Amino acid sequence: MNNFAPQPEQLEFARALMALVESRNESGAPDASVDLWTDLAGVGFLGLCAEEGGGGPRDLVVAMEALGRVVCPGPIVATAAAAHLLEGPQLEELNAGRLRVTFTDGVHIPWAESASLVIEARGCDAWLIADPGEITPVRTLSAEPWALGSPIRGPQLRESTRALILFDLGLSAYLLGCARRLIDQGAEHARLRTQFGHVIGDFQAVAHPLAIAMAQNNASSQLVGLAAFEIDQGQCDPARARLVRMASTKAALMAATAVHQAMGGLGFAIETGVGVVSTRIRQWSLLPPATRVFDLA
Amino acid sequence: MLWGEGLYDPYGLLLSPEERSFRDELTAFLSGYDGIIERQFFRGRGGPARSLYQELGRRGWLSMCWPEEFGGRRSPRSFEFILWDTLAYYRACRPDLGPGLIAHVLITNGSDKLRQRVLPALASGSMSLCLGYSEPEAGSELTNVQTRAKVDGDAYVVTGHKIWTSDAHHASTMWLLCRTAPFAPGSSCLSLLLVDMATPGITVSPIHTIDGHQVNEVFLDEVVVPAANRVGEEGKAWTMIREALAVERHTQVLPGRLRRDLEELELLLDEHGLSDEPVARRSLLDLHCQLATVEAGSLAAVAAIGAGGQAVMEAAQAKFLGSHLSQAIPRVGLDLLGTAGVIGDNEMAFLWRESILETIAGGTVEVMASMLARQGLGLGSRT
Repeated sequence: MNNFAPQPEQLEFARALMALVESRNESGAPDASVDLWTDLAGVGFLGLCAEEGGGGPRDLVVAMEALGRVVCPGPIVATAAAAHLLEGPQLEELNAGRLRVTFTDGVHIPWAESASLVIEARGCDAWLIADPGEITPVRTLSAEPWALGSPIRGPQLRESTRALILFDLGLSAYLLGCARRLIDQGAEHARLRTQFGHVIGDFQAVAHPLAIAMAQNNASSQLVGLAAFEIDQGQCDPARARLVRMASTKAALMAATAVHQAMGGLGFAIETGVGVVSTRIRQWSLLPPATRVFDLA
Repeated sequence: MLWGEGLYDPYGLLLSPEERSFRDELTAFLSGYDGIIERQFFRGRGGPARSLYQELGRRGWLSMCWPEEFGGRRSPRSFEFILWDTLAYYRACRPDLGPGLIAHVLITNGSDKLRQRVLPALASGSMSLCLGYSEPEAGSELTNVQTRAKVDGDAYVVTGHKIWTSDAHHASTMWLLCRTAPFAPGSSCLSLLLVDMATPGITVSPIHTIDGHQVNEVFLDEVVVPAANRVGEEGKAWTMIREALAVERHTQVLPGRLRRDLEELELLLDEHGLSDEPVARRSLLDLHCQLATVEAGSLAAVAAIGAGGQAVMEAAQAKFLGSHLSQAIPRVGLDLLGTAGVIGDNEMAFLWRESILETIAGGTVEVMASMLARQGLGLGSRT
């Protein structure tokens, strides 16, 4: 049987990405700095999905899960997926870290202020946006800079099905990375916090939800890996990618719930950062183009 | 959205003529009251909420279930439930701590002097209290409270550290759980003191929370509290507060708040043209089923208390199921609304964050489940 587990070189790249984001001290920030974006391009992450980028879907999902673990900011999923859509000077700009791409459903534009290229996606089709129109910034649950707009479509893009599948898988991996970070934080708390003469992790009521969340998270991560392997083998099925995104969203939200509950008041306080990650999971799970549960069904 | 305006009234057949008349009077008052700010229910018990409590106090509604000799009307406890449940539906305020839990403990256990001094202020809504229970090492395990009160003449000198204290930043008085001599561990040396928050040695420090509000840490450094402010016998606090908490728990997650949450979701789905989507209809049906059971359970608790029972099981069940439903509604809401739910100042996004605390504060759902397991099934479950 083929082994679809992450390979040592993929894990090494993932570790390098995590170190890079942590060195910039931008975990959980609403948007990425120019320096971080340049760094991500410099190590080859942003252009990973370009045909000549040297990477494939399996590299993408391992990298994206690592970036989730460090709560990397900015439109990294859309930009990485767009590398498969773009060509010529735009792809060169993307590879150089001078282009940020965001996906819109025709109304919602995440990271509207910092994105330099907007792509509208519907179903399996995608169009460059010629004019984003009038932009109205909006508050978001996770404090990231989104906007509402009435973008006007430009030319349709080639190879959009595969790119949108990569987006769904990359996003799934990112959400699961965020969730894993929370699970580790919740477990650490449960190992240290003492009540009734025991660390609270000794109590099944605390330990089991975390363990179940971990199992669900691990299985979803394996599903993402399997789906990436399937694409690598030439099997591109948008319905499969959306199923993976639904499963991953569900697992990540379950983890957020379990960890908030395990950490009690600490998880509700801003200072521990649990809320930053849980709200990010909720917000990013709804990133355009699939912005509602119906869109994924 | 008023009761009787074509909406299903879950309590329709249960209310006595007097209870119905009171609810009508309360509803009429709230319809004409213009002092309720947006989401006031979630903003704590100071400011506009305190003004509202005082309005309620002027009408005698805060103390109506107290015995006549303490200024009440000896109305059944169901009136308190109707009061707070209706206010919750209107997003007006949570139950005031003083007239409920604290007054009932004072009436049962307080000295005559303390009752005379404090009860009128609680009945009028003018005294704002915070509960000084939780500590860094005493969360679910409340009997591990370490704050110490040492006798010094006719006063106690209190030193300790409270945490997760709601309303401490605008409360005039703390209802303090502390350990008194001989300072043995466990529940045997716990005492209750009423502490004036303006006393030197008290520092209140905010903890900012993810719903945009705050709870507090309270540091007590050799705070001098008159011994006359002790409630009940020294070392007997645990029995007093455990019983009071068990009874009051049924008002912690009020079905009126949940019904309003669900109505807000339905309005949003209508607004976005999603109400007829099959997945939305299925999800709403499920939430309505859950709400119906929570309402029935809460009403059973009120009825049991009205019949003279303690209703510990019913109250724990109401807290357990109600707090889970408070989270289920916005979670489903954001699933259905999608991106539209997480941008702007959307009610579901707010509730999604706020409700995280509902399964934690005032007794975690794990503690509730343990109580249900122990008392309902004879299972010695740990938390």
